[in-house]
Amino acid sequence: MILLLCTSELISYYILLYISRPLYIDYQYALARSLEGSFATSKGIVSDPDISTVDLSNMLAERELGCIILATDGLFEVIDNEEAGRDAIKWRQAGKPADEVAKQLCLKAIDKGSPDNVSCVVLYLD
Amino acid sequence: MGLLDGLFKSDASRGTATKSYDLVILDEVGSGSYGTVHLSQLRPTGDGGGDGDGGDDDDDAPKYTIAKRAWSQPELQSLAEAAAQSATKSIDADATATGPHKVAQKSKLRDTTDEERIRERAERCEYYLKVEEHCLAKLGGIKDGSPYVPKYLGTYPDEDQRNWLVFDLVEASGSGTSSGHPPTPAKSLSDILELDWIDQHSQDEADVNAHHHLYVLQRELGMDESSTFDDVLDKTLVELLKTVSSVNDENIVHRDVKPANLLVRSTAEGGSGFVLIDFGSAADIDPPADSPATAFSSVLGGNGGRVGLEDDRVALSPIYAAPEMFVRWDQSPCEFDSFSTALVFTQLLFNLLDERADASYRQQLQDVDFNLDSWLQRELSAELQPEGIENAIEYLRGRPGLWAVLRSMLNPNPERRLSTGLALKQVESIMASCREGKTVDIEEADGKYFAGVVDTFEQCELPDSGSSIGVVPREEEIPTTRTEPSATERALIIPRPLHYVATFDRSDSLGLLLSEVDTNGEYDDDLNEEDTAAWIEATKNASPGEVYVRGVVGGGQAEKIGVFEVGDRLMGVGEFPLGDEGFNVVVEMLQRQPPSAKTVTLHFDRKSIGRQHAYERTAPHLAKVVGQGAWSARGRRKTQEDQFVVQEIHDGENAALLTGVFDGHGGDSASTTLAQLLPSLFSVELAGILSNERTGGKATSADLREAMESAYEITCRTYRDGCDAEGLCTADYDPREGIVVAGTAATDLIAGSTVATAVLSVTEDGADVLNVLNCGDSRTLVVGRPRGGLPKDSIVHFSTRDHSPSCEIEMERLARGEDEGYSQPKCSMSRWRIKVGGKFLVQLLFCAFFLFL
Repeated sequence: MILLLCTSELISYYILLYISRPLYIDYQYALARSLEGSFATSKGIVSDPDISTVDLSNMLAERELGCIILATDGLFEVIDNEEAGRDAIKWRQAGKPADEVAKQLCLKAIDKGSPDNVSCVVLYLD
Repeated sequence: MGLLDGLFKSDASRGTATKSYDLVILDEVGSGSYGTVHLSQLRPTGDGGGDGDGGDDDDDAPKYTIAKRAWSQPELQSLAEAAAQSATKSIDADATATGPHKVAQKSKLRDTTDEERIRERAERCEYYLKVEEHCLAKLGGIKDGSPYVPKYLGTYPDEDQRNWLVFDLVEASGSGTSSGHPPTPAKSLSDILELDWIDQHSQDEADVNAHHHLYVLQRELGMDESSTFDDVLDKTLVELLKTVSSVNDENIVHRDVKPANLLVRSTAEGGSGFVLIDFGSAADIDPPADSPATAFSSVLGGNGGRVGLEDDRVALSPIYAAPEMFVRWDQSPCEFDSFSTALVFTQLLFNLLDERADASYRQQLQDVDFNLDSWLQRELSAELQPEGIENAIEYLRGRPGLWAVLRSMLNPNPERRLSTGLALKQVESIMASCREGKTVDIEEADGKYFAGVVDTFEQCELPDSGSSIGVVPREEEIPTTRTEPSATERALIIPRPLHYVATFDRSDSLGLLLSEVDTNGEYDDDLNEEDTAAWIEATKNASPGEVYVRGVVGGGQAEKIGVFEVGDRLMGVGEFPLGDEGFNVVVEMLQRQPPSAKTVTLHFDRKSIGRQHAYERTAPHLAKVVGQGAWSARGRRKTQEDQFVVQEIHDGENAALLTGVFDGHGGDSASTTLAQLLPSLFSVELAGILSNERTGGKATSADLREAMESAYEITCRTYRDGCDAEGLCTADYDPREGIVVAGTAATDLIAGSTVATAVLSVTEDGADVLNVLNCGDSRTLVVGRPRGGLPKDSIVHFSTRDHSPSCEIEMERLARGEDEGYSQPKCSMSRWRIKVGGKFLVQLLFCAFFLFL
């Protein structure tokens, strides 16, 4: 396909060209699923999700200071579920707002040597 | 100009040939920002050239040579104009609206400054050539016929009276002039690496006799067809070091050692190796003979008029330059080249041959302060690992001491860096002891960390069973009102971490008692009744050599972490999995962590024991979100590829909170797409569901789940296809790659992202359930302190399952897809990984434009 555009004063032609070019992928994934381009997907790194439902009202009947934590593996590479959860509960009880808890968890992960990006969302439940 | 001219008077006269020849300039071989290189011919002056009588004297025959000259000022002017034309034309065209006068004034101003800049640039170009002339004259004068640098023949004027530096031609192997054609100049290492990159991807993967990844280099070096990858690397390393050290030995630092400046020479006599070209950025560390420079000249300031060091300006390749950038004559200046040489070699070693790889390799090294151990540790723990590390470790394993040599050549401090001369000696002795079959202790030679990597070469963590905590099976619809969880559900919500990792500060004691199982049941300590029971239960079927947690020291690090229970089994230390190795190995592994690491991670697993008692319960009630917040940090990475969303979606009487974190890799296009599209698609989908099915328009949690699921599916499709649901396609513009055509592939071809999202209702009533979607290894946790529980009871109520290649569920899934071409997880360098490799075609849309004035 060739497309021509023309400006009035200076006569200039823009030519757009389709070029087919081979590209190479050579990687070893430490992930079995994620959202990838078509090639990696066709090799089995599919984006099929696990979908779960957690019964919050029963959870809150049994537990106090409930928190939901979402975080990238930059956090979980160096901090265990249990430790992250205990910190969140402890800081919530100490009166810290949720954004502060999210920040502190990220900083703790970096301090513990996580080499990765770290992102974290914290919600408080009552 | 005057200043630079004065400096080189003596050199110019030394280099000029005495015998008279005419220089004939032939085809261009290449050109750069400061000059042009042509194939040329030297013909003896006088009539007829070579066909005089007695013509068997070689000196009288015309001779093919290489000639090089700097760009002249007018040429630079026109080059700059050509480059500027495309960039500024459109601006000028836009500016016409504001009046021609203004534009004219603007361009006049620009012209004067440009002129100055171009004059300066022309001076620079001349200067580089003169440095090159000086250095090659020095190298040629001392060792005539060095095979490692081009032989400098002198400066000759062409018919337009432009001066050219003329060199002996380094011919490509098998070229030859017999057919009457001019000879082909030798290929550079960078040309060859590109061919190797193509070669390794154009082969059938199943072919057992497939070429190793340096096959083209092997051929160009004239090596035997039966040579192996290891042979080629041996030869390459020794030849690289011989070449560069021959220059450094003469106190010349090249400062631009890179694949493009290394010609691959192979002669019929069997001598093959590398020729280092382009000494434009070089410097002569010896003070000039006619300068009063002494050892004190640095105190007096300046570099004593040393050629190449006159001022603090030099053209460097940012990718291969040593971290000091500027050399000082009195601070190990020649070691600059040692760094670049090691960088070139390790790139070949790790198969980082494509152009994207070398820039990022340099960046990765810089991020860890050029410590190879730390780089390797990071690569081994990364989500995406380039191919080629395994072959490299295998190669290094057979050559104890080589890793230490490379590590030292990459030392960021030039005064502590191994010189090319010493490196050559050490490498030759390492290879000699290998040939003689001497056994060398790799830990002593290469350090504890590397020895650990080699030891665990083919060991991987055991596949985990893939159980997640508290997952309620999807098929079971949860009624909105209910009293007690069913028995099966209870079994599922055992709040125990089954496989966990704990990170400790290295400088402090761990505060953790670890022990093997004693067959006679004799231990140094006394456990209380409860712990004894736990120990016996956990170690019931222990194999010899397994290491378990025996206790936690009060007030220690382990107690603060608060995860450990007696009977937890140690699975690995840092990157190293622990086989059935025993306590002593654990201690050793702890010491093996790279010295730069501040922390040490231990991996544990725990038998699922089951909860002993039910917690106290209050009446079930709907959940309300009383606080929300997010944080995202780039951390130690150079780029931020993570994205997150926390977004409330209001629609009439419905309100939902959608949160998510997306961990991007290989670029941020996937994570950005998710963060941008998911929330808006979610609200569109939710509105669609409500208008279709419900009366009253009140969204249930099942509706929220459905909306989340379909929003996610559309987002994934959009990312892969580059189109949205309505068929509108985006085509992101990338200045280097052109526009990637929508429908073919995403812009950044290897970019991917994990997804962890959760959605719940945030109406005044509150939410009954939380809907969680997970793909990858980011996590969603639901935690809370058990009412009436013990302090050590788990606070984790729910956690998603990581989709890791070591997970049995994933292994089974991939095995089922093997026929469809799915890659299978393989144990590689102490981790399970999935190799994704191969060639595929993409269509790129390029934009070119021509101007007709």
